Parts: sequence; structure tokens; C-alpha cells
Amino acid sequence: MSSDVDQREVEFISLMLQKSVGEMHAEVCDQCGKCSSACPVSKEIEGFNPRQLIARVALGKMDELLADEAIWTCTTCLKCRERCPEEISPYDVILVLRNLAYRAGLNYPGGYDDFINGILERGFISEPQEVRARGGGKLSRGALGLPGVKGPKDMGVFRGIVEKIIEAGKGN
Amino acid sequence: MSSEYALFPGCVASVREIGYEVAIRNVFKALGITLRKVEDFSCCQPACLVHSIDYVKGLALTSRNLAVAEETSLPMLTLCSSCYGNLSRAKHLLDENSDLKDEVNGLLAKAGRKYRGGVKIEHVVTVLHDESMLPYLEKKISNPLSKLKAAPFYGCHIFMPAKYSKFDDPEFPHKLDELIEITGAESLDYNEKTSCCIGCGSFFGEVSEEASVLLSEKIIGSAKEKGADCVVTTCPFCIMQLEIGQIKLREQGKDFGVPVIHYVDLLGLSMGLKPEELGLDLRRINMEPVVSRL
Repeated sequence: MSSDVDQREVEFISLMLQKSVGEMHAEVCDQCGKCSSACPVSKEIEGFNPRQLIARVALGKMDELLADEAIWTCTTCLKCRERCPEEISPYDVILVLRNLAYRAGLNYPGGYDDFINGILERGFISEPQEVRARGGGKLSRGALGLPGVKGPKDMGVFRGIVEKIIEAGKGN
Repeated sequence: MSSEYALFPGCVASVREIGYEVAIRNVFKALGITLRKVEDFSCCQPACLVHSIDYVKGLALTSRNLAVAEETSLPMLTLCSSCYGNLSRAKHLLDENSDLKDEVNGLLAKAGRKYRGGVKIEHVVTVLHDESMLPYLEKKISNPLSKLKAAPFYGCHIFMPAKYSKFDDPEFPHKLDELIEITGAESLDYNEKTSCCIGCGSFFGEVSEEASVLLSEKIIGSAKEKGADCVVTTCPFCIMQLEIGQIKLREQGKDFGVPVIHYVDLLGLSMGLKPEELGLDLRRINMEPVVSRL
């Protein structure tokens, strides 16, 4: 992950987003709070509040939001999407914020690199793992009589699409 | 209702929680339904993964699977609620937005694929809770589990948002309860049955891992309080989270010991299949509360 945060990118993105959501008015998000009441994470974790997050976007607090760990805390359960009467939902806004934070070269959780590398290798997040039997010993898919799992036939082409995603993000 | 499906493996079901795939295969075989192996599928690309760093390309990777399935002319069968929800969401977004569909097809063309629309996406429970299937299932129950109390856990992606998933009522889901009752077991009502296991988020940070353990305590605690012998779910991700959550809680001195099983496990037991045929000896929590009530 690049450690050079592109400050100009952050400023540019912040300005663009502020312009587009600056027109956010009551008819779009009137802060009804249905999203927060649906959100399972906000009930357990202080500092994660979907309703407030949208308010912060509308107020143009982009710099701090893009760098905030909170935007990566959303578990994408989509319960807010179900409840939001305007069908905009914090989930949709959070995905945009994540996309922008990644492009600007800001911090993101390390797990992404691991799983994306797994997908680049074989199409799935990891190799099939063995399972522990309660009586002891580990069993593979083959030992359980399960057929193998194969990813995309043409991994070269598949990788081509995924690799461009990673390059595009790292401020290139 | 089809007698043959293109099996969509999924990362959690087929790569990590393989004991559960044993159950699916044996139950579907006993029901006379063929699961066709299709090579060329890849990770369904949940919203928490590639979408988070590139929305359109993430959608393209999900849609690639739909294009692969289209070529088989078979409906897709997913084993995981998250796969079902993600694939259904991608289908909905592409069918409703022709601009987005064109952009995604532009990317898929580089892989020699095209999303045309028309593939049917099913999950184990959408196939089973079907008008023509239910009477047939009832006839197959040779060993009703009348001593068993099961707490249904709906989770998230199998039924929400209703616009994408179309399986059940988003506010008052009832289909998993009905499926449980067919097996003869009692389906319990409890506070946390539509909560979230935080599976999708838990790979990506300490905060989410913490939330996952806290929610496991709430969900399992609430079910146990109502007298549940087990929690029954439709998703291997939920199974994994609620099992690992209980193991972490045990390390904190809180021992729940509630088995978390998939609906097919319950169905299989009521159809007379043995625990080993359902891979129940491969799970993390001791199955004694379930097996002792057979």
C-alpha cells in the first residue's frame, strides 16, 4: 500500500464531492435516523453512526471522513438500504467514500490486500482449507469425497481485469 | 422448480467450511436434484471486497459469474446467503440500469463474456421453500425432530434488501421458521433472529472483529435463553462467525456451547440421514445438544 498520500488528490476529490452533495437537502436526506436504528454495528461500536456519517458528507467534512476508520467499519449488511425511505442509504455513500479514499492513497485495512491477492492467484479468496474432524486429524475436500474447486479457466485474462483495479487505486 | 442446477461454490462454503458442502450434496442427492459442476466460477465479489476499492470493476467480477452461468442454461444454486445476495444485487443493478450494464459488459468483453440477463439465481432455501417443493419435502420426513428446539437465524443477505433478494418479508420474515417446522422441530421466536453476524465486515479489521464477538454473545445468548438446542441458519458465513464467536467468548470465560447448523443439516437429520453423512462431526461446536434429541 502506498504510503504517499496524494494531498492534491484528496483536496480535489473533497471539493468535487462537496459540490455534488452540497445540494443535499431535506428531501434527499432528512436525517430521519431509520438507517441508524437498523444498523447492527452502530449498536455495538461507538463512533459508527450511519445517520451522522451522511450529515458529515452534506456538511463537506470530506478530509476527515476519507481518513476515518469508520468508513471501513461498515459490514455491508445492507439493512440501512432496506430501511432508507429515500433509497440512498449510508451503505451507498460509504462505498463511494471507500473508493475515493483508496484512489487518494489513504489508509485501508490490510485484509483487503490478502483477499484480493488470493483472488488474483486462483479466483477465490484462498486455497480450499482442510477441516478438523472432532475425532482428530484433518480432512481435505478429496478425503471427504468432494470434487476439486477450480477458478476461472483463463486466469491470465481474469487477472488482467483485477490488476487494473489495484493499479488504478494506488495513485497511478 | 428444476431438477438440475449449476452449483456455485462460493469462497466460504467450498473453500473454508467444506463440512457443510457434504451435507448439501447428500441431502440434494436424497431429493433427486442434480448439482452440476461448472468450472470457471470465481468469488462472487461481495460489496465488502473489490467493490469497496472500485465499484464498477467489483460489479464486473460479480457479473462475470452470472455470464458464466448463462452459458450453461441452468439456474444457479448458491450455498451461501452472501453469494445469493451479491449475485442478486448485481443482476438487479444491471437489469435496471442500461448504462451500468454497458459499462460492465465493456469490461466483461475483455474476458470474452457478456451479461445478457435471464439467469435465475437460487439459494438452497429458495429452492426448498417453493410451492411445488414443499409437499414433496413433507413426504420425505421419515424422522420428525419433535424433541428439538431450533432458533432460526435469518442474518442479512438472504432476505434484505427485498428489492434484490426477493425471498421473504424484509420486516417479518417467516420462511425459515416454516422450513424448520416441516422437519418437526419447534422454531423459536427470539430477539436477535434478524440480527447480523458481521461476517462480511469481520475480515477487515479489529473493530469489526470486536463487533462480531459482541453480536455473537447477543444472538447466541438470546437463543439460549429461549431454550434453543441449536441455531439454524442459511449461510456458512453466519455458521463460521457464530461458532468462532462462541470460541472467543469461551476464552473470556463465557461458555455457551450452542451448535450452529445450516438448514440442510436439520432437513437431512429429519430425512433419516446420519450425522456423519451431514459432516456434523466436522464442526467447531459439539453437536451433542442436537444429536441427543434425535
